[in-house]
Amino acid sequence: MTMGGRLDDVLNECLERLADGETVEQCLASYPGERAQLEPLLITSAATIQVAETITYRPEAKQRSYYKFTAALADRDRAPKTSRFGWLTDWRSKVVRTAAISLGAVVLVSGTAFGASKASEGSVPGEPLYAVKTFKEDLSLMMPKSDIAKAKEQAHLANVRTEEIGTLIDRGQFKQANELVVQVTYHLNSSAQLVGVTVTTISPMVEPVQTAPRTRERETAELVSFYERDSRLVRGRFERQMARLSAEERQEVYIMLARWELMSRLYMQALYYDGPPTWPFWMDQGMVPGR
Amino acid sequence: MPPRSDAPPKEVIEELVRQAQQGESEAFAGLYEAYYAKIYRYVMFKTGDSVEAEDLAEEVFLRMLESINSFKWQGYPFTSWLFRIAHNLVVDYYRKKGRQKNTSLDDAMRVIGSDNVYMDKQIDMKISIKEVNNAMGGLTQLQQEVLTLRFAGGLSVAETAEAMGKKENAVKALQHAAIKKLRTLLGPQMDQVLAQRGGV
Repeated sequence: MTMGGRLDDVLNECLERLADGETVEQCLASYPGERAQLEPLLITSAATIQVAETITYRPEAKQRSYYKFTAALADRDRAPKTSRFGWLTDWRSKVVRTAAISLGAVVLVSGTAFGASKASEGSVPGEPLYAVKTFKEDLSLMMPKSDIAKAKEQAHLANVRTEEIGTLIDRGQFKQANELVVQVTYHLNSSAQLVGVTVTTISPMVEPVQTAPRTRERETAELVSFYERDSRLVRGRFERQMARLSAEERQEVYIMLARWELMSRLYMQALYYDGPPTWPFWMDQGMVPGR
Repeated sequence: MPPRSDAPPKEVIEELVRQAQQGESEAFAGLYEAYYAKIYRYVMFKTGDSVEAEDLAEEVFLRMLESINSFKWQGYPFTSWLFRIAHNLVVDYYRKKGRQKNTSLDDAMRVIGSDNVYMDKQIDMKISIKEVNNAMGGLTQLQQEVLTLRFAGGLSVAETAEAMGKKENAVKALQHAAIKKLRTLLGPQMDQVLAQRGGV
């Protein structure tokens, strides 16, 4: 093998090792003879990879795209049925299609007909069954129901995402956990919008949240009560987690949970005017990393 | 490259593809979930425009839906097949736009909220996404494609070779040449890091 060919292989092996979580230094240590040539290449690669990894999609764009995808999938499924029952008139076809999709949705959403569906409930991002879980959620959101029921469902999904954040923190997958906070924001915003409230602000100091219309006071109170009950449980879990993390891990998790807490509070404030009464203990000064 | 933990095992992908070819909706949803982030990152890295990237990523999955039954298992990875669809759509995009390559990632900077990306502790440097994009513009089309597939798409050398219709050794050589040239094009930033490390 030529020198150039050998370096191609060594460089590639090191890139694979970087992808498996090794450091540049660990790889250089394996090839002391090639260190001078390899080091600038690996540093350049690591820098480029990290830049690429900062590119993330907007959850709402993914969700919108996913709806189109599922609609196209439904159309695709419809095609053979139409040809098989070609004698049906157009309006009959539409009825059959709607019924078929609705039936499929009901079966999926019921969560008991398929083992995969049931097993997906505890899944988190990065696991194959997670797609089944979010698919079920999307289908459920598409079912006809009242605004308050949809708002409750969105608030519940915010807490489902929060549960997943907790699981990912337990596994030390902080980056993935952090990405989910954006989705919590998305669900809470969607929930608020369904009862006539907008929670879109960069900072509550710059632009206070728009509170709920008085005409929907009963509905928003119902929603707050529902969300509060759920979020109390997940907040308790966060508190237990923060207490057992190492100082370094706590620092990483703190900012993420502070974002979650801020979003929850904006939501509660918008719906209920004053939000929950106290900050959780892990947000007290004594728990802030570096203090 | 995105961490390996992000990628579902090969066997899972194979099973999802088989089920999708049999028309299982859940399998399509699984493939969508498994690849959306990677495809988006790939097209975003190529186009530098988040709105176009969202549309193109969406289109990739619609094409996948249309043509998945034409995909054959002959040692040919599904990942390579899917990224080839993405590549073709990006090529079409530039053809329609009448441009040869991307010129900036300003939009990406807007998406991530900053033009500076801080490297981890072991590298201890900062580099902007715009600097990387400008430097990538100095590579050949093939070199750009290799690095985008490897670093943004997270493909292995074998998958990259299949997606590009090249031999693995050729991809490794292209990869080496591309990184070497990128290092030169990112000269000042890299010199600073290497000086800090006491390297060349």
